[in-house]
Amino acid sequence: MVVPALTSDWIADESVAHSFSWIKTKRVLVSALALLVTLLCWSFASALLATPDETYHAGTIWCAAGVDNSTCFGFDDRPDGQRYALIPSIISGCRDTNATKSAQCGEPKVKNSEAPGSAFESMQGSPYPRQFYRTMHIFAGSNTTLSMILMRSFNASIATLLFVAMALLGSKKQFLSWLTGYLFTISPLGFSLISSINPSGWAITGMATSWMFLIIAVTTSTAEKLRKILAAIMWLFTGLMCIASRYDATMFWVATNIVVLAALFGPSLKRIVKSGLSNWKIPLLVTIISTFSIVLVARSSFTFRAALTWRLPRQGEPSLTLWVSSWLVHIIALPIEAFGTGGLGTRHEIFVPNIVTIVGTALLGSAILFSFIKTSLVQLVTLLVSMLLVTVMAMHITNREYDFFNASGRYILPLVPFTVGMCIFLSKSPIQMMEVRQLRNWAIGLMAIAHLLSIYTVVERYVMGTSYGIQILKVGEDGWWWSRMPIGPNFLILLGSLSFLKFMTSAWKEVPTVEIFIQQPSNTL
Amino acid sequence: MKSKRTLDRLGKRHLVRVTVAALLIATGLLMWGKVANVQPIMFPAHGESFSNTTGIADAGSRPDLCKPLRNPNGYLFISGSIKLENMANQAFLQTADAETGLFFEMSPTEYNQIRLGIHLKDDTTKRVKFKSQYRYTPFNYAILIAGDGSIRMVGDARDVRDEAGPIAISCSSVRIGMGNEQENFTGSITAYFSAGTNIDEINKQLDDYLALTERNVPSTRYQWPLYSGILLLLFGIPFRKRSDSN
Repeated sequence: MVVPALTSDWIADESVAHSFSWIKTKRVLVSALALLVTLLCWSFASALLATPDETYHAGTIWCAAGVDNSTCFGFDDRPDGQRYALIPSIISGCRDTNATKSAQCGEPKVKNSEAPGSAFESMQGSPYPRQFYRTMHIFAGSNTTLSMILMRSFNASIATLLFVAMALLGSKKQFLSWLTGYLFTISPLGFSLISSINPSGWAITGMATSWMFLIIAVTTSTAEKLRKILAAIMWLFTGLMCIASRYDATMFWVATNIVVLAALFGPSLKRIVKSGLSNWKIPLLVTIISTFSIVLVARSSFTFRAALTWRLPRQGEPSLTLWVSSWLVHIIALPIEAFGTGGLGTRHEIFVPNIVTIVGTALLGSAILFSFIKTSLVQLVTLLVSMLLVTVMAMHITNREYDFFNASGRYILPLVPFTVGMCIFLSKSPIQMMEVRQLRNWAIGLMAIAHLLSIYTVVERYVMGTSYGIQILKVGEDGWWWSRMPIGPNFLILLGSLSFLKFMTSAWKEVPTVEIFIQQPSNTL
Repeated sequence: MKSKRTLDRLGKRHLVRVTVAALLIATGLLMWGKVANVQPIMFPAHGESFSNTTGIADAGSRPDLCKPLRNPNGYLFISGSIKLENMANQAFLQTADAETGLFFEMSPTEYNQIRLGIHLKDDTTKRVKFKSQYRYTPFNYAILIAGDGSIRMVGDARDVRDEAGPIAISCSSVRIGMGNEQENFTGSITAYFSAGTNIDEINKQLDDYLALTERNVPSTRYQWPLYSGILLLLFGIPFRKRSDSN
């Protein structure tokens, strides 16, 4: 017989006053420091231009303010229609020539040029807004290595600050849901993108947190005005990150906001409608989101109308039924790419060991199953809607790229922490997996091992090439490592792994634990 | 009172830990600072010197540089240093136009590989890659071409050897700061040219140079205090008995 030794009545008791205490703040800061070190280790784990399309992003960042002869020297239009941005040398990642072995280096470029002038004029119809590049351009200088490290570190710092805000503002139930959704889906693909100069990093950082800030902002009582206001500010900030990163992240943000509001207020819609005129907050929030979306669409250079237009399969192409049913069957595999099944980069393909995927999937499945111990209709409907959203977005991406059956998991990764977190948040289970001390310890241990293997695989790929085993890394003639860096690759792996372990152990301390004892039946035969 | 004493004790313990860690890190960084500035060593000056500091150095027709290559023991030896400004197509030097001589260049379309082009008797061009992408500035190189078609390139602690076969290198238009009919080299280059018939002597000098570059690596002793300081600062003493604050 399984008996929880400690009841966790706080789960149902959201009215428990939220308090800022020095001990808690200190613990949160320790966790944040560990997270920051982990993310910084990821920043240094891969060579420059490592993440997908990074040559494109680097060119666009350096030329974000147009030709200035210091960071952007001009453009080289090639006969094949490609436009290359001439920027200072990217030298750190350019050590080896063996494409199958370690880091390559490419020329930064801005693709699909149609008009002369600045890089952005060539970006009509591109899924990338300008704001991310303009922000990153602040760090762009003639020393490209230093600039990119600053950009990566800056992005890692934003993710860390958002963690601090979440840990301090969220109630225990909110933090448990958010942390499970975040930690169980972020390593390794999320970490590699968050600590990069790829706009997808901002999309993930923003999307992984905005939904919970919205929940905190709308559910916190007016008695805790500061907490409510701060959560609203963080929600707006993370929303702006999504909007600045990718146009599909903007769509995700709007859609998840609607899902969150519907899940929170849908069940009591009748009451809200009744008090709608007197309760000004809900109409105000809806008005803000609607206005924001309309202004965004109106002012955007991205053709949202084109994005919303679906090109249905034509004659000779797979039938619509086949296409839709194929995605319904296979969609579940796409979020799993968060665990590295889709590779961590398109330029230098890195496939983490299968154990990472197996551990990640098993833990994620277990956490979701625990949330099903006692389900609610809202939870199931929200999960269904979220998965439908993931499916529709995946199909939309494949439709846009005219490749009906293939989509990269990184495009929908921003939706995954939300889907998992919301499922746990709306669960009525008296106990969640990460509350059980024994299971938590196992989960932390397994995640730490999976993370260690992931960061090792990435570093090894660039330093010595993929060995499919484990070895002490040596920066040989064919290898790559940061020149003039006091820390070597082996220590970076050790530091990143220990920091992640420290982060998990201290972050989960914010969530109360229950102990499970096995009680022997008294009437033994 | 008891809790205050505990806090005081904890505070003192943290202070000691942070101080020791900071000292270790500072020591490590100081040691690193002394060893980090190891610069790549350039092959010593020899023969005639050229540089593009005032534009393309045009040495004109120099048959004397290519003449020794008719002898199997003859050689053309070029060494120097390159500093790039950007990663566009770059051609560093040539001995003749229209790929009839020797040219030295870097191609971004081939992952920024530095390579040598050598004209052969069958009117084709042999390209030998340095197997090194342009990585840091300056890049020091040494190229030895023998009359029997053997090629040796030393640079970036690499020793690349290849056989080009029967070579036919013209020295009708020796230019430094451009090559292979491209004039877009925006960086700086210095080049020393010499030619002769005692290739063994040059090979021996290259062996010595290579050994010197291989020894020219920074010491890693600084890592002990630095690493232990970082670990101590971030994670404390791992085997210390801890009280469960949860």
